[in-house]
Amino acid sequence: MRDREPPRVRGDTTITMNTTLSRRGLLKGIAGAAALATVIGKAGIARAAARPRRMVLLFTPHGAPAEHFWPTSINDLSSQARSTSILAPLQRHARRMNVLRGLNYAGSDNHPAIRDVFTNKTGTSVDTSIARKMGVKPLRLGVVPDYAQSFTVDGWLAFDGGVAQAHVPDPAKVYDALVASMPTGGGAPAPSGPTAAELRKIALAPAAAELEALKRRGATNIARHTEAVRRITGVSTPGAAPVVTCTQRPTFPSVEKVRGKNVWAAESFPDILAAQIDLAAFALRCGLTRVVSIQCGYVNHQAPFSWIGIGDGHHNVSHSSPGAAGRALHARCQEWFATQWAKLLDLLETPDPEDPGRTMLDNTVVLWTSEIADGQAHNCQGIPAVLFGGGGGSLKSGQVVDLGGRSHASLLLTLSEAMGQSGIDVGPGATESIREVRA
Amino acid sequence: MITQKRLGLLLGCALAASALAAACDGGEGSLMGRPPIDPLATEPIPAGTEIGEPALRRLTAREWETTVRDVFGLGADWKGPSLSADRASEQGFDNDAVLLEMDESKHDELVGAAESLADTLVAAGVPAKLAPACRTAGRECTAALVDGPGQRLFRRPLETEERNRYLDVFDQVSAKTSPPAGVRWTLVSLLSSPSFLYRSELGKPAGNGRVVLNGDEIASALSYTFSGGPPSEELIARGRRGELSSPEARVAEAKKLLEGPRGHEVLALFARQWLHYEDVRSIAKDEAVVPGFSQVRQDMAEETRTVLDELLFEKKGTVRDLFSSKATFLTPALATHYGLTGTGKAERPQAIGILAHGSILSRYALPQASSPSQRGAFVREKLLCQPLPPPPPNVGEPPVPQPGLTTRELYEKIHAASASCAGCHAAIDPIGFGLEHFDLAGRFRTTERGKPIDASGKIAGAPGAPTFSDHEGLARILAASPEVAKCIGGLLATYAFGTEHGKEYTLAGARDDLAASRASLVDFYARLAAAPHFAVRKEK
Repeated sequence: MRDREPPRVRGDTTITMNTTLSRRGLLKGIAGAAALATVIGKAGIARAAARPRRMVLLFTPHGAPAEHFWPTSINDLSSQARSTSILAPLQRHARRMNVLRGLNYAGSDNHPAIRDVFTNKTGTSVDTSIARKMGVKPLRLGVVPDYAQSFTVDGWLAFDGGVAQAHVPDPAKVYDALVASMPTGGGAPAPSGPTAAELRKIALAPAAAELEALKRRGATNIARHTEAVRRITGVSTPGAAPVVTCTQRPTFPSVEKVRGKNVWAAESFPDILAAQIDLAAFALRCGLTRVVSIQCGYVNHQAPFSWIGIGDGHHNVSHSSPGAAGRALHARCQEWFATQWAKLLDLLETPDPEDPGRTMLDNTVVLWTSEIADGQAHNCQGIPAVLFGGGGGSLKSGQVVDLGGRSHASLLLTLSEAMGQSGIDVGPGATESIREVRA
Repeated sequence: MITQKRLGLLLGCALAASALAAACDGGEGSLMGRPPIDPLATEPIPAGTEIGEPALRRLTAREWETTVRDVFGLGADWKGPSLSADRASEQGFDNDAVLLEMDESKHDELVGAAESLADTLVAAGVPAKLAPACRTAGRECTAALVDGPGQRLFRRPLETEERNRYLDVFDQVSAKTSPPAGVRWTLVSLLSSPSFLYRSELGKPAGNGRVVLNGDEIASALSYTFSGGPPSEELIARGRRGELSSPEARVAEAKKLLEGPRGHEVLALFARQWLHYEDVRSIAKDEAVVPGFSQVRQDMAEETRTVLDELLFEKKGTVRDLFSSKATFLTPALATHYGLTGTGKAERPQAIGILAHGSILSRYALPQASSPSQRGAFVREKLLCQPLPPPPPNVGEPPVPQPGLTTRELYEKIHAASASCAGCHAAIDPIGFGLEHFDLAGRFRTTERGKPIDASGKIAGAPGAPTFSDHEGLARILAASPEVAKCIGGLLATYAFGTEHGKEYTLAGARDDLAASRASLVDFYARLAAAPHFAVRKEK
């Protein structure tokens, strides 16, 4: 069994350097950002004796229309309603997924369930309690996590001892705090010669010309392809993955794009999420925390998903006046989130600097869930829940699991176990983690 | 065997000839005045048959792999690309042209696959095997790769300007790095090209509201539809000589392609995606109810695959045969599971075709019990093409077996008791009851919980509201049903044309012959090549 292999000694100098950085400098860097008081603990990540364990919690509001969400098979994540299959964009990560059908919030209903998603009425969310047991502080990233400039009950997702904990909505502030103690240059020697991105740009130039020719011949379905090629061949490549090192400050175009912008503006939503995803992966890769949560919106979240052509507010859409068309519109919103999570997983599906031979995702458990099961009904039975990753060898994956109405406390227990932590209070409703996903 | 070099010459000559012909026909710079309309553009479209619009169809992940395996001669030692599955349509087919969209995520994935394959090819010395010039990585090698494998990837010759673009990739990269890197990135470039990634069915406007596909496009359409892979050099050459313009020639070519191993696989894939029978390979059953199910589930899938291949190709089976055959294919373990004797090709007592296959009966069942609802929905959706509305959001868990009640009694009690359930289940459960002689794992039974099986039922809403007393009666109704034949013919056309409009493109005669069991399923599929849609389109 992979999780019973002898402990590995990290020989990566990058991580050793990073550990030093974390211990000496990060708190100082963060000290100036009061809003980030919860970001990083007193120490970075001490050298692990066994496989590293990381956790990412992803929250999106308003549930999902069931017929657009649940797949029949992990090999085909298409849902029963084929027009929009929310999980389909995650198909390339299917073998790393557990689709958990049949989980209920016991004793919770409708909007207030947001406060139970990660607490199950214990008053302390699992990101808080697990991070505390690991000696780190959780990194909480917000994407318009409440009404503008507010911190209302509608946005209370994380808790510590009954006190709501905010998710930081400004990626630039998060970034500044995370890199405060990192040198701005001179760490690793600059690579010589052209980068792969530069050579890729040359290689894709013929594609750009051929797409133009196809367009002239009347092809009508290549606009997105053209855009994808343009992103690679363009002069600047804002969407390209930045080179991340842990010894000097990386540059995230996604973060710089939103720096100084109004992070509460609805239209900023996609850009903020893109930046927060980059930062989540960066913080985990460089051992700046072990626990990250990303809160997208809040209950009653009303941003119109204009970037995918939906003009009505997210909450209105979720209630989707009866009928297949309304529900399909809601599905398109939630599907968009899946496309974003696929990008996050891409970043995690890369070599783990602390565990050579494995990927970050091998040593991470990612949960995507919501406070609501079906948006239209606003009920809490059969909540959408998907796990990703190997949890440091503790989880198997590549399956659709039917849990037949089990309490979501079992899911919180599963997270605790995947993080190697016992004794976490996950509230009533379960004494056992989800055995179907245990490795 | 035509070599890569000869193909280049052939295609080059054909290109030159077609350019000359275009000039003589009155294209730009014509010496002859107004061009005549392509004969294909004026052929009448038979009544009851439609033609679609020009299209650009992205290769499926499977077609991508098959193409590069062919072009680069890759064997089993290459494990294939790491590409995610393509989205399936409501009918279950993953080649729907509308769903095969190219978004940013898919594009990046394909570029990643191109880079990975380029590394594999270079590491295995494939360029040097395909082109002697590649014994030295350089511009000459790159030119040979563009003219050889490049043309085969594109399924057409490259124009001079295009060719120069790829040589320019080599020049630029090698100037910044090294000639081997230049070759590597040129391969990436070819494998990322839209000319490789899409099947062009854009054609050329004929000036009369029609668009005529060129020989390359027809050759590709035939090859991917009937063999799942790229056209051979010979087929490309035939297309360029105009030999695929007639319906008869296309059907003959389709039959030839279907006879090959890849042709068999085309229809095997259709059956897998239509019936979802392969799902049985990963289905679990309660070990207390079906001990050892995991040891026979692979055999069940293999039974269906083998029987269908034989029925389709050796026996030239019809729609009727799908529901009346006794054929099975048994391993010793599967024979024991079914309670049958014999191994290999054998017969079971029930003459109900695929309805008796464990793969299907297990797929449409629950972990602890059979499911008349799932089986009834299977017949409605897969065999009658009658889509059912999705279950309501608050649908409960499936019925849990109860002591003293047969499955039928349980379903009748639960679904009839609720008005909200009864509406839909009245249309599906009575069909599923017809298969109650087969338990959740396809084992024949005469009793359940000590009571005799009642497998009588009806197909509500069908013409005449037919009733049956058991599975044999149900199978007889389906085998003779024009609706079933129409459904299956429509699905085959949907799959062949990569669009739900496929059935509209099918010639009426082929549809009628399938419905009357005058045409075998394979013959019907081949006759789809006669559809005018294969050669002409209507202008957008």
